Amino acid sequence: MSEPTIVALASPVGTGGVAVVRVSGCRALEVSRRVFQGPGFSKAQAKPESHRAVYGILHSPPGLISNENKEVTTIDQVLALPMLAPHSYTGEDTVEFFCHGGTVVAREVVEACIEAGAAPAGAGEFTRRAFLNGKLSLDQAEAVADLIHAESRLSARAAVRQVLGGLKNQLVEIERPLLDLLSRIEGSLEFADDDEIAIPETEILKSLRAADRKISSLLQIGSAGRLLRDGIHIVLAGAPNVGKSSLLNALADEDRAIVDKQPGTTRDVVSVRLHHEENVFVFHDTAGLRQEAGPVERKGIARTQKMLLEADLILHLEEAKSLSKRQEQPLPISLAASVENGSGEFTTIVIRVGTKSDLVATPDLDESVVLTSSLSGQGISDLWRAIDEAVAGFQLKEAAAQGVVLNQRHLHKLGLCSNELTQLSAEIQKTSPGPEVIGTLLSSITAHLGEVSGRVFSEQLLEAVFSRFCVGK
Amino acid sequence: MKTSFFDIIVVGGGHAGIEAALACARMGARCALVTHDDREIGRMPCNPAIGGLGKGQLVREIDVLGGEMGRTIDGTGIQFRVLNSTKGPAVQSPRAQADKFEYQARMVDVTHGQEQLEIIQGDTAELLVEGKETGRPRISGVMLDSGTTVSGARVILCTGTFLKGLMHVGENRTIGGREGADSSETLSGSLAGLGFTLKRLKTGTPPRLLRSSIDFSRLKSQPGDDPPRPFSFRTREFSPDQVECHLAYTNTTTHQIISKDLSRSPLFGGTIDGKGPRYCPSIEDKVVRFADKDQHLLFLEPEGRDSEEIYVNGLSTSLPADMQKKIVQSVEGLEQARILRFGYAIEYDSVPSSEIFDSLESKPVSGLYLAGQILGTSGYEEAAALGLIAGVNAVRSLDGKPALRIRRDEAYLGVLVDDLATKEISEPYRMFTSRAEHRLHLRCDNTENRLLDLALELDILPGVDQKILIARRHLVESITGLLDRVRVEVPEKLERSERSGRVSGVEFLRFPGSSIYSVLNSPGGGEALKKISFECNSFSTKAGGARLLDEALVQIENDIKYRGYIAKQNRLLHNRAHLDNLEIPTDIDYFEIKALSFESREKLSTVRPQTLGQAGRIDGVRAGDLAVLSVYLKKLGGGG
Ligand SMILES: Nc1nc2c(ncn2[C@@H]2O[C@H](COP(=O)(O)OP(=O)(O)O)[C@@H](O)[C@H]2O)c(=O)[nH]1
Ligand SMILES: [Mg+2]
Repeated sequence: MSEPTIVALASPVGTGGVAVVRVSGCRALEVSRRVFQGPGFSKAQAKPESHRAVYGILHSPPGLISNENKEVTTIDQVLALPMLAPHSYTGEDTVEFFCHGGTVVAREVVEACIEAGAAPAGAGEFTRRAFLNGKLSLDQAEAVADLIHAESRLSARAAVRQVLGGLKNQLVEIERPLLDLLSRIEGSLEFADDDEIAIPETEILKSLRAADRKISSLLQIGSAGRLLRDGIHIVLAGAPNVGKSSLLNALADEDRAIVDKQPGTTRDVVSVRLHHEENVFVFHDTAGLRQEAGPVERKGIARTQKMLLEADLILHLEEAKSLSKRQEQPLPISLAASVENGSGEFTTIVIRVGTKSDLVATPDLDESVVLTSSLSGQGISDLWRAIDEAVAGFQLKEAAAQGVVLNQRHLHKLGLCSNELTQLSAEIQKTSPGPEVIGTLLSSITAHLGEVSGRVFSEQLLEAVFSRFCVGK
Repeated sequence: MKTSFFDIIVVGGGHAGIEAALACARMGARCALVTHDDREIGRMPCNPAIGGLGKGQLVREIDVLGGEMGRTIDGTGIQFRVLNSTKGPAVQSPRAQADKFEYQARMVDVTHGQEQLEIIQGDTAELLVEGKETGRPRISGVMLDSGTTVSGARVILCTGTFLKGLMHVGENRTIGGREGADSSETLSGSLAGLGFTLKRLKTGTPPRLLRSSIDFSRLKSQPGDDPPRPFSFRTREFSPDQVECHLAYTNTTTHQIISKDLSRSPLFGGTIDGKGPRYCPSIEDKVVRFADKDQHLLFLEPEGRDSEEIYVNGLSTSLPADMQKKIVQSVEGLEQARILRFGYAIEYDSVPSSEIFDSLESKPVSGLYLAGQILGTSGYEEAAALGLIAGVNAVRSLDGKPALRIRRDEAYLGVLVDDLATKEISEPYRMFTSRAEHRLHLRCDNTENRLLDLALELDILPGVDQKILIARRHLVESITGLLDRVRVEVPEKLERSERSGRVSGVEFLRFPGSSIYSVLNSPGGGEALKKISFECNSFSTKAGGARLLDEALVQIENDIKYRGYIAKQNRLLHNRAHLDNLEIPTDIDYFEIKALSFESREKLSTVRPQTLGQAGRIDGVRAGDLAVLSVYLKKLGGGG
């Protein structure tokens, strides 16, 4: 069974001046010859040279024999890059056309190829073919999907590491002792009359807890993956009119939040994604924090509280002039409640920002406060520096370098394993279930671990991987 | 040349052949059992015992499906023990020492007395087939070496270790299927001629000692259980007179004798090609592989109640006779022991399981079924299980019914057949509880309930026994329901600080050490307790005694004790279970899927798994291969 030859736009829609159209399949050359005139692509030649780009004209295909007089129209001047099987992404004959006309022209190129006999590619179809032709393993495919969705450079770097097996090595180290323990437990059940080989409960508990600990620490480092992929969430908090929306505009350098003199305008949370240095940030402008407020506004405040709880970083804004008057400025109660863990320790980093610095002459403040003026732009770069410093503590670079950035599926599975190991340990202590129960449950738990390490097949992994690809990938 | 016609011909009168022939005859087929000696039916050439870990479960399952093994050992056993009795009920298994002479005599009687079953004495020389020219040949009968033809629509081969059997004692080699019996030389050739691939396997047996030459006063004795428990739910009268076994230990001197002259073992000297069982290895294997152990446990088991022969379980060997003597006499208590028969290794031809469907019908020849050691299993119990399944399936195919498909979560029988159909058997296959991932559910105590529906469908049990099993299921269901409702007071010794006052019967049973009888004796139960007592009484009247009631109550207790764990396991395995429902088309061309490793393509092509789950259990087929296969199947299905 030979698969149809497929075509799709391979570069992201609407970006850049060059669009890439990819044709793949056993008839890729035949299709290309019908729409492309250039060295190596004439009917006389058997095959163009692989991996050598040639310049030529892309046009609509000539009609079939019955309609040979159909007019051929030129679409674009393009570069064609033939990659012959098996040395292509899909493992099939592939031709990529680099058109300079952008998306509109690219669409015409795709249509010409379809007219010439190619079928439009489904989402993820190129990758699926690569996978079936053995060009890509499943965890590599998963990492490719991560790579496609990676917005920041750090996140991309982590995904590349993952392809090289960073996570896998760590998982093998967790898995191996558990599998050893399992085989010893099973062994002890297979020799009925040899009591010597029974494994003491304390030893089983020790192994289970050690594995649990390793998974937990992996989860801790690995959860940096969320920050890399989804961005670092920063919430702007402060009294109404303190200048939150203005500051966000200054940071973003564009007018997205509503700026108004009337206090309490920003009722809904306004979020802005910003790329800065190697990271992606998501800033959330909130309704102001104050006690007396109308019902609509109260809703906004409730939402603010929730945002504060989930924030990775909080900017607490106060007007510089009020700061200079009173030296000691405690956090508002509602804000403190969100970031304190009860014993007065902060669980989320808070950067204190003094706003409207242009309105005070020489403020006399302690050094932890960053002074800014959204009006003059003064101090904005200082604020960025403070943010970068705080983010350094998240060890994103380290996680990316180790390649243990976990995606949603990893986090879920590992969380489940850690949870189950904890429960099993508790059960052993409480009721001493026999080795037959421990062995059975442990074997089910290691199956889940194996799904992350790739030792055990999982349908969900397949779903997760291939559903994340878009057309053209 | 004489010709007689049968529905089904069973070749071989061992433990597989017996169950196959009886199942066929009892399901109404006209059946012939062809065996080289009709007085040798049901012989125990190796260990004089039935049951053991995992194997005991098989015997219980065979019993509920109308098999003979359980009833016969109940009637002829001389010692009954539950193994792993200190561990949980899911991994406990019954085992019994047989009086092997009585066991055999009884099997001879049962088979000779079975209606619809004719015993034909003779050696099978050749398989007869039709339609070889036009495609897959179809079996039509067998030819005996006397030249007699026996015709039949189905043939079940249960030839054990007889195919080209070759016995080794040191450098001495004797052709034969077991001690004192000829081998089948031509049948192997007949199979090969029909396109079967044959593979050499090896197994061994230990020396037998003269009882009166052993100093039992220096050995630890091992008595049977008191009270003993029978295997069969059909056994009504059970009060066996039990004998003792004895424990002995090898020592460093023994191990030195072996390691010094290891080259004289045909196994290590390179004379034996066949692969031996890892799980009951020869003593020379054990000494080499567990070099750090300075003793190995031996069991001295009488071969019969009055037999002078003692079987040395744990000392299987193929070393030369003079060494066997030295080895035996190095053991404390055996200094003066006399060897009556030397241990030997036997090599034989087997058919790789990739050549059978999971119905046990062969792939090369239609209508030909295989069961027992010829398929690479070891042990009487595995053989009997396969014999029963082959017999049932042969009859069903004659009736135009689909083959039995027992799932892995239903019975050890399902595990056995699925493993055989998917695993590459490179050494004789022995059942273990660890092979059954659902072992918490596949217990001895609930066998009757697990297999009742199947037994009823096959209609293979006498009517009265079917009625008892139906009543038993009803009892288990109604009492379990009542225990959920009843509220009883927790006795002080079971009481835990966090629990006081009344609890449900089910909660009560979750306390370690509690039993259903302690629930029944607890105050406060009221009407529900009375109802439980009533149900119990009426069942034991129906079942003709308290034993089946006791066993049913044990099942209820264990059901409850394991309930939470089984639910948890099912939750954890939930995402895997459906893999067994993802079917793979049988005509798939694995060689077209380039992403599969070459090894996987070959394995998948020979095994031709029916589901993705089964594909995953094939040795050497890895997670990545399954992923590829799954994507490929979706593409075939048009799912993109
Ligand atoms: N002079 C001066 N005025 C500012 C600055 N930032 C904000 N404002 C003014 O303060 C008022 C409230 O600003 P807004 O950003 O809406 O505050 P929010 O309620 O905290 O979002 C507006 O009238 C802004 O023009 C600043 O840096 N300097
Ligand atoms: Mg605002």
